[in-house]
Amino acid sequence: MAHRMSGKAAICGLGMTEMGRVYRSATDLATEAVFLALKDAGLDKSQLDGLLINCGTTRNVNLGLHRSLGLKELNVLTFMQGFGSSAGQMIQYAAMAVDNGMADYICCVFADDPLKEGKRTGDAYAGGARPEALASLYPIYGFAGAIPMYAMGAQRHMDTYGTTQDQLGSIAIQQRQWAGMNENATKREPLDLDSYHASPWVVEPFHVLDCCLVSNGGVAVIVTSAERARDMAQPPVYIRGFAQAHNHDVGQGGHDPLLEGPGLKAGPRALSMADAKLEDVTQCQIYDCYTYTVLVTLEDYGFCEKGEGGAFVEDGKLGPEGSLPTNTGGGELSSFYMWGMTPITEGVIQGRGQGGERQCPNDLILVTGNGGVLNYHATLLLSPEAA
Amino acid sequence: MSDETWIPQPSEETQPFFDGAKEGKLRLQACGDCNAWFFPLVHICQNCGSTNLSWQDASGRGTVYSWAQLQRPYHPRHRDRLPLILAQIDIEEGARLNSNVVGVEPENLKVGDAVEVTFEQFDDGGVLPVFKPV
Ligand SMILES: [Zn+2]
Repeated sequence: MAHRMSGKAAICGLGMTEMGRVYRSATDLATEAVFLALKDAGLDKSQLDGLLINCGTTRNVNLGLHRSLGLKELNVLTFMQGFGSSAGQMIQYAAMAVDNGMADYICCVFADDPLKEGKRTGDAYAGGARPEALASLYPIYGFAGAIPMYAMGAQRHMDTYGTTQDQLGSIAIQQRQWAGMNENATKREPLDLDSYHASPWVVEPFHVLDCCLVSNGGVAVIVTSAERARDMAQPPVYIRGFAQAHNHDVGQGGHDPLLEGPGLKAGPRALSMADAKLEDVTQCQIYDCYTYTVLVTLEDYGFCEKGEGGAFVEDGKLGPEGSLPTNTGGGELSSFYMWGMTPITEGVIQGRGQGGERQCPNDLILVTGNGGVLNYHATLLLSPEAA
Repeated sequence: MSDETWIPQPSEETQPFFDGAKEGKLRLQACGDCNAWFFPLVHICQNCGSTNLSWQDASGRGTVYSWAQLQRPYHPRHRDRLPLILAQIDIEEGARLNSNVVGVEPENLKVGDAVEVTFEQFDDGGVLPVFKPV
């Protein structure tokens, strides 16, 4: 039997600004995203009584967003941070809050503005020296940002299980195929293995094309009760199951955080809430900061055995002709990078049946959010049916 | 080798780490109550909450948990030595350290390989602990 929260809340509004080299402040992008979500949901601003806020890398959105939005009164308001798992987390807390009657319509919003006019993409996340003297050795060793750690995850997978560079590349290629069907995707030109291998190395085994895009933009998602969602402007997308799990790398051996992510724990809990089995999942929207993140997350959820992810993805099953359509908008690798909002936006579009030529069976959509280095994780199971 | 100053200025708290490196020792903090070892600096044992921490010389031996190859320099030390091998090393004492593996070609390195500490000397007097295959 499904958990009592299953199908009790739904997503009724989605607002997405222009993505990419949009040189506006994250606060302005967040503000616009909320207004777009209200319009999409057919709601008047006065009906919005909850706001959950998350900012990205630049931290240029804060609690004061309610002022930018002219929201004089709210019943629920907070700023949240769980990195790439934040978006999924916000929707989970919003679902529980509307179910408990704390608020009727809660908007979850994210925006980021790392790209600056006249600066290269590669400089977007530069700077930010670590203040503590011993940790300040890390950049001298060559550790900065997330890329070295995820690259080490991929290398550990390769050394342990024989995973190949072509298999990582196949993930980038399949997502690019999807992006070709998404007019809002940043990178749409077809990609093959030759061009993947020709892409410059960043931290080997990662080419540039193994890494997500860098994007400016804002996304807002409005959550309400299942009852309210039934008679609104957009088809409701019900939240059938959710869970979180968080693994912390505390600088000690004896565990394997690069091969075993928190999705291992979150997946079964979310499925249990929905009273569903993994085989019921008809499509995946997987957080894909790197190609390897997709591979290890699919393993963590049990779509294949641990270690078999390379062979699992290589046959094209994630792509447009595949049996497990995954990241059908192009994902963070090819569409745009809005942290956990990227997979959620596509989950909502697909859940509404508004995917156009890329629409896939949407009976049960697995959406994952991932932050840190496979540390912070949020799972959502979305569906056009409440039960 | 670059002669640019690269080493962080040791603070009173971190001086033992840098003194140890100059003496050819991997000197780290260890908890006197539960024997957990740490890098970088802690003030409270992450394992048991004790403040009974002291600087101890580790064996310097460990294994490669994972590794990758830095292919783009962003620090003076990285120039002329790409690919630089980044690695997480599980030292015998239990901590997992971010470091480099030197003295090996990437095609000859594998997860699980045994390594030991070695020290890289810089023109400005700085010394950096790194690891090499045993
Ligand atoms: Zn202790």
